[in-house]
Amino acid sequence: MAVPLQSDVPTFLAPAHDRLEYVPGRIVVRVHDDVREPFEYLEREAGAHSVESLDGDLTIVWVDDREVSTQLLRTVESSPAVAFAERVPARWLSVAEAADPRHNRQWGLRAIRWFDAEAPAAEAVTVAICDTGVDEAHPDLEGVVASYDHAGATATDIVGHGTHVSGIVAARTDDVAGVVGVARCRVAMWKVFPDEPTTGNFYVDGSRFLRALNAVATSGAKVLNLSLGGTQSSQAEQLLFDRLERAGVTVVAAMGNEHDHGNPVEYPAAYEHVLAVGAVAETNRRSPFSNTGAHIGLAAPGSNVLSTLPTQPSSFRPDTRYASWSGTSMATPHVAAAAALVAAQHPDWTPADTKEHLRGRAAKVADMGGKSFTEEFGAGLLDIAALLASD
Amino acid sequence: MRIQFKLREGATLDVPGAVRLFPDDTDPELASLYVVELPDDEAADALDELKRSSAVEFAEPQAERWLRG
Repeated sequence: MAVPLQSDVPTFLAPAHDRLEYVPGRIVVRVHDDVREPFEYLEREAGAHSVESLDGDLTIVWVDDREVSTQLLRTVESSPAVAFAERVPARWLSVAEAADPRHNRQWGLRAIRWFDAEAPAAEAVTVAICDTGVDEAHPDLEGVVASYDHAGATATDIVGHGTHVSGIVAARTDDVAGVVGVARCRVAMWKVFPDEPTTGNFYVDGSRFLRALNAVATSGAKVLNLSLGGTQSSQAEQLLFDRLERAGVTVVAAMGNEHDHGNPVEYPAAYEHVLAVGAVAETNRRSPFSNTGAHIGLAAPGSNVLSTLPTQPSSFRPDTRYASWSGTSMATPHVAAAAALVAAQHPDWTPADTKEHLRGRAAKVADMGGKSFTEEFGAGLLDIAALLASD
Repeated sequence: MRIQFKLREGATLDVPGAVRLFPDDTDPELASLYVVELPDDEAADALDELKRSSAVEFAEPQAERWLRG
């Protein structure tokens, strides 16, 4: 369920280069005595049309901004009754300087101890994503998308799912827009969904998906995020996932959202070599929808996760810019981004090393009852601070 | 319905309408993967036939995958 939110940039925040030094058409005058001459002069020479008396002997005068000059102000000040006359300086809210104004609404970052970590620069690491596409022009994704293959479909992310996933992975940090991603890495998008639904749902184009998997294996990406799945396994897919493993790509996939509908085993999450991710809510309990099973690797935030949406609405998605969505789709990119951070810190590690590290540094949550592994949480909740801490 | 299948090394098989999944790839493993689109009412029989063929390593319907969020 999408939760629409407001604009990412507060209306009181003007871009730094657009800020005014003075309030247009306003002069403040301090007059010692009850005299009218300075105001009459301003009325005559600068189109003064209104005055506002402040406390004491300060007066704000509304004038024609085009007539305001240093000479005009000096002439006013030449009156013995006038202590000073000056333009009203512009002032703005310092709070508006805060970076990524929505990041305090990203509960998931606190849950995975992202704020407690000194994340390495990961700009050299690319996370591949096979999804519904991406809005490359989103302010929080500018410069983030290293490549975008949408062959056979339009570039528009009609559903918005791929843009949401991309934001969780790599939304820009320290800017004035929106949210932050888990890693400062790059994203390579393969759009594997069509532009139109089939019988009401969007299904992967199977041939395009297999070709994308092969392309990822030779792309140089270190991580592949798959926030998709289905109940049927495929030998052709397994063949390609084996090749991805050999190519050094850490593959992360969603456990699925059908816990209360039979809790099926889903693929690609259940393939060998794929790290399967379940979802937790803000309470650190399993998200009710999140599938469980022996193949689960670990868990990550997946309920009400705030991230980016395309800036333009579509017939399938009225919301734009930012929204909170739920699903193991949202948990998975937290782990994919964490894998990118590991790859940045340990560029020589294999996918097996990376997955073992992610599981080994996961935090045990209360519902695990002291066990090192459960079918609800796997090895536990993703813990960025522990993941990046030196041994 | 789409059916994908992999031929055994060195094997050949004439399946009308089948195309290579990776037409430009010379890697033997990828070059032996094919896909064929068939009407739903013909697909089950065709799949059975492919599975019985000694030239085929595996044959399967293309798996459905959908979004998890």
